[in-house]
Amino acid sequence: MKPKVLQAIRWVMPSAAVLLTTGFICNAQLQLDAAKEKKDRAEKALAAAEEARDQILNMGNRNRFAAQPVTPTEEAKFLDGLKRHVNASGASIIKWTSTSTTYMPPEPDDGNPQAAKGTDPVLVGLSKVTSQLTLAGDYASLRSFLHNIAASPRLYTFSDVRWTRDRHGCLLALNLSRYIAPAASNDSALTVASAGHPQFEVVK
Amino acid sequence: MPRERVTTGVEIHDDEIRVVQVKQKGGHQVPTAVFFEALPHGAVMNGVVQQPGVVAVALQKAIDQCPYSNVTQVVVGVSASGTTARSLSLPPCSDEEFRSLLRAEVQFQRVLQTPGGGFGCVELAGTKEDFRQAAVIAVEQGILSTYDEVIDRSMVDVMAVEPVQFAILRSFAERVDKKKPTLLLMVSPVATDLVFFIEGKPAFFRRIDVGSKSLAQDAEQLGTGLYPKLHALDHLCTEVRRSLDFLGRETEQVALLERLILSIDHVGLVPLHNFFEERLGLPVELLRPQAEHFQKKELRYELCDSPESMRYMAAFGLALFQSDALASVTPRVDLSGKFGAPPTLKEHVQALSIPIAITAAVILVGTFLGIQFVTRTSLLEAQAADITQQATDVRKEADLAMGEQARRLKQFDLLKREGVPLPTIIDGITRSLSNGVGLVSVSVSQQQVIIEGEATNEAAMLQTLDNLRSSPVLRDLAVSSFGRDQANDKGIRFQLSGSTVTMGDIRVASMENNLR
Repeated sequence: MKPKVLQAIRWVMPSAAVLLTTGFICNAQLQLDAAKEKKDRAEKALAAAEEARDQILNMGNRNRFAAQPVTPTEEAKFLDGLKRHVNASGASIIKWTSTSTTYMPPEPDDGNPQAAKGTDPVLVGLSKVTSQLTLAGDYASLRSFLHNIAASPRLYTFSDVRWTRDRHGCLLALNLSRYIAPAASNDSALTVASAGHPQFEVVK
Repeated sequence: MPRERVTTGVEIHDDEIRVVQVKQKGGHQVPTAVFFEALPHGAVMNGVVQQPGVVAVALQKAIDQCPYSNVTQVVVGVSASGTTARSLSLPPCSDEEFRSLLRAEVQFQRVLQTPGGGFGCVELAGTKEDFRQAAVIAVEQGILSTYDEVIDRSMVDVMAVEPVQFAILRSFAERVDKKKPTLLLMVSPVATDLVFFIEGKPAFFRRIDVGSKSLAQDAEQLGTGLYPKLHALDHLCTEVRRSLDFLGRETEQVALLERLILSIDHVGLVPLHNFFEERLGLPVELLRPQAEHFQKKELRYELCDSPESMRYMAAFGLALFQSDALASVTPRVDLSGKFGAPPTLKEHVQALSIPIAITAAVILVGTFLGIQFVTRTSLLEAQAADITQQATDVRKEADLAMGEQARRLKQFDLLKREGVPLPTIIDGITRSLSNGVGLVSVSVSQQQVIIEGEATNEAAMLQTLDNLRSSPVLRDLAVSSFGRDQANDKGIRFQLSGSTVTMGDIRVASMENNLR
């Protein structure tokens, strides 16, 4: 091997190695920086998405709800709450019976436009449980009972009301309806969250 | 930064080992040591080492005395007494063929009497165009082996073994004036070599068998001023004159000859200087190094100014062995075969070991760092992808929650309409009652509200009717019946009926009332 070639190799080989290694490391550093930036962007996007989701969930939790998901203890809890409300208001329950209906989808093929309008799709599957309730008490206690029921987070509707007064006091006969969602809809996070709502507010 | 090379020239003379060390820096030669190491009588005789062990110890001691003993390259000179010189003519040939033809001619002319040995040559510029001429200086194997033995025993790392004639030519070339033809006489113990230079290049070579041993006796007589018989000197002058006459017939350059350079190896030959000037009619100079090279005064005196300085010219030329500038004038000759030999694989590996080690280290470090970077980058990429997927899932979850929220609101609005706003209706009716009016019953269905009451007089009943009509909780209010209470003649019993309103209707009506 010629001395000049040998001398050149002595310098060129380490220099080339240093240059190539430096280039390789710089490139790797750039890729690392890009990956860090990508991760930071992803973290910010995740934080924003989580914040939006939490806001939506909290908004849902603050709102009143119409249907309680069905549970084996739903009716017992309802009756306990009803009794506490009645007692707290100073009235008394004279009579209580209960009937239940389910919102069915409209029949499609009878050509009747009324039937076609039928039940709104968002209500299909819900059950409506109506309690025929007769209460006795003075005017103030019955009024307090009605207001407390109406102000509950869970929706209760009144229908077929008859309020009468005689010399012994007042009687209030009414249909008090509540709504129950089928168990299938429990997979929704929002429905699960609403299952924890109190059916009646605490009466002070 | 120019690279420094330190070369030590060692001439093994019959009486002493002469040492000159030169440091080359850039294009300059700076002598760093000039001294001799005496040898016992008989250790070297007529250029042949008789006692290699003794000479080896002296050589090792001499090298150890040098200032750069660890880094210096050593060139050993073979005394002229141990060499055979011949001028050979070769037919026209290429440079590639020249060396082989010369080797064949050396063999054919029996320049070397025994097998082996070595020779060096310097091509002569020549006086005839039909031939290529070379001055060959050869060393018999028997003599060369004694030098090899000295070198082996001394453990000195010798770069080359060179006949001293080439070293003297190098010393001469270092100071030659290329413009003018010059005659050089190199006096050695047993012979005198004559070299004629034209334009700085040797053009003619001849060996005359008169050396310093015989000339020294004549020189002593010259010192006395009496010239009874100067056989050796006369013979030498005659041969030099004959050579000049011969050259004068061959080239016109001889007529331009202005000076003769005399190289002597013994201080006793200094008187020859004047003798040659008288006999040959030419200015004669003694060969010495150029003084401007010397930085140390003591070295300058030893090598330039001292009467003894002439004896160091061979060692000085050997020390200039590595000078690239002089290599074009005087070839580098190595009879040991070490110098100029292609480096072995081991030497290649040694020369490249540090660059290879550096390269390997750089590659290793780079690979390690690269793997670290790539690993971290891959980890971060995977984390980013995972987080992005999580964000996508959360967005889907939020979308689902939003849809569920909307569904629940719609459910709430639809189901709320199935009931009547009973507390509001009851409160509205109660607030509308005038003095003297009492309720008996209130019936509320989806379509209709029926109020039964008692009043003390008609005015109170009518006032209550007006109040209820202006109340938002009832609509289309009408008196269904009224009449005297049969059980109580003083009172009026009445029944009112109206359409049931929704909570939305109540809000709208309240706003309208407020606007009024």
